[in-house]
Amino acid sequence: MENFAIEPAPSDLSKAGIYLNPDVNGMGQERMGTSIMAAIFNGGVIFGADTRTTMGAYVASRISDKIECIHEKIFCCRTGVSAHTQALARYVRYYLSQHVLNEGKLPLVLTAARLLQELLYQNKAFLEGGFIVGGWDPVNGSQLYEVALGGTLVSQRYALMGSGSTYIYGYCDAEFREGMSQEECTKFIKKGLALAMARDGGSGGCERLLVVTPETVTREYVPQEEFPYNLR
Amino acid sequence: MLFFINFDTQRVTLDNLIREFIFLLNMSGAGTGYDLSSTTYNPEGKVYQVEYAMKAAESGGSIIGLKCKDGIVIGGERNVLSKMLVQHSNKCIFGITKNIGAVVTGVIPDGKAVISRARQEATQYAEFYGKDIGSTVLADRVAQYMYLFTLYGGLRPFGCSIIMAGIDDGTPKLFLIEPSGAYFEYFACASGKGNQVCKTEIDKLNLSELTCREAVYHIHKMLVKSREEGQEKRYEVDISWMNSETNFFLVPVPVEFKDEMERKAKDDIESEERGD
Repeated sequence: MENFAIEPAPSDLSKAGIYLNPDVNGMGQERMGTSIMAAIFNGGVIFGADTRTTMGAYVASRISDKIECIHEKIFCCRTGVSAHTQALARYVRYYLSQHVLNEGKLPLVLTAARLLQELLYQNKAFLEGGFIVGGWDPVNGSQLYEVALGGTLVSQRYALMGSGSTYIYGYCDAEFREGMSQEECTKFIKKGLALAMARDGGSGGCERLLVVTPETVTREYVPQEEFPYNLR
Repeated sequence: MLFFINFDTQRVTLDNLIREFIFLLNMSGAGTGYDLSSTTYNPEGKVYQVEYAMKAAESGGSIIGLKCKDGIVIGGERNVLSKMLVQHSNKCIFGITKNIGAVVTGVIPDGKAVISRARQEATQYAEFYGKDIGSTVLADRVAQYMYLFTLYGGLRPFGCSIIMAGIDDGTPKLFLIEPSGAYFEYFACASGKGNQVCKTEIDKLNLSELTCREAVYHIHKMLVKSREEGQEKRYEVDISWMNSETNFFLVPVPVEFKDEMERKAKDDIESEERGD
């Protein structure tokens, strides 16, 4: 992939002596070294994400929100270059709202995932981002899709993404079960993210969770003190 | 209106009467210049090219769509132009997706152009959104496409009416799309040459109790009745249906059953005419 020829604007950072080298891929852009995950439980879907956004080694935000709403019952977790994934989510939100006006009924989760896939695939030379898309629709119920870098779309029961995810595949394979209760699933995700954040330097901060059921959407915020696991 | 204005303000002279006559003649459209382009309104505010297209659509073979208790049936007739014509080579029912189909009347090549656009829209939609298009959305898009052709000087409106039938999430839907781009959803509808006769026959049916199998009989009956008396042109009838029997795919009605119903319809009409 070509490097992004984006000159960093002379900012307070460079005045402060923090030099951002645009030649090194990813430096000079806010990006999310991330731990995001989501899983289907017996009553819906739970998303989870850390809250760290970085520019190279610099932590640009400690409280970013990587779980984004696409439609009433459809949500996504973002990973990759912040600007890219935010723009993509915005596009999908826009397309889907048009689609809903045309159809006059709730959109399919697959449709949202399909739109993301199309955008990622068509612009694969320019975009760096991945998504976990999920939620509920009246036709197919609770679903989860992983939309990866070049436009790969995979349906999953649980999904992991971001740099931190590599540390917890084993944990998830061991701990994930079909048809967990909401409490069990919340616990599963909280611990997974805590483990990932403990090992991954790109991930950190706090945890955000979001639970989608056919009836409700609820958010949860987990501060560091309440993590089930910390490296000390 | 015109008459009153003239009567009030002008004396009724031969000269005025002739002028009046010419003016009324001109209101019919031909020769005034108002009908040369679909970008020109006539003084009544109508676009003559669209009116002509409607007329072209009304001059084709009769087509009928019936929404039944257990599914949906569409049918149409077309004249067999020559004895040398291979049977079933000039169809008027077209499949668009696996559970959306349409029957066209009027200028058939125009209809085919619209159908091919409908197929394009359907495949593009499925590709883009990852699910099959609904007939409500497709009817809307096809109607918009036909409407576009009433807007530009270099184009002419399509000379065809289209009855589109589909199943949206298990619910049967029926639409009639006209050359003007107007479309409505119906329980039952008819277009083409014999649409008036067909509509009066449809009014006699109890659609909430009608089954698809009965509908095939009634469609045959309507088509026979709507043909002009004493006209012995050869014709073929296409009928397709979607119901639980066909797994809600659009499928032509089995030939033996169709022929049986045609015979029965003709016999019944004959005996009705004899008065027994």
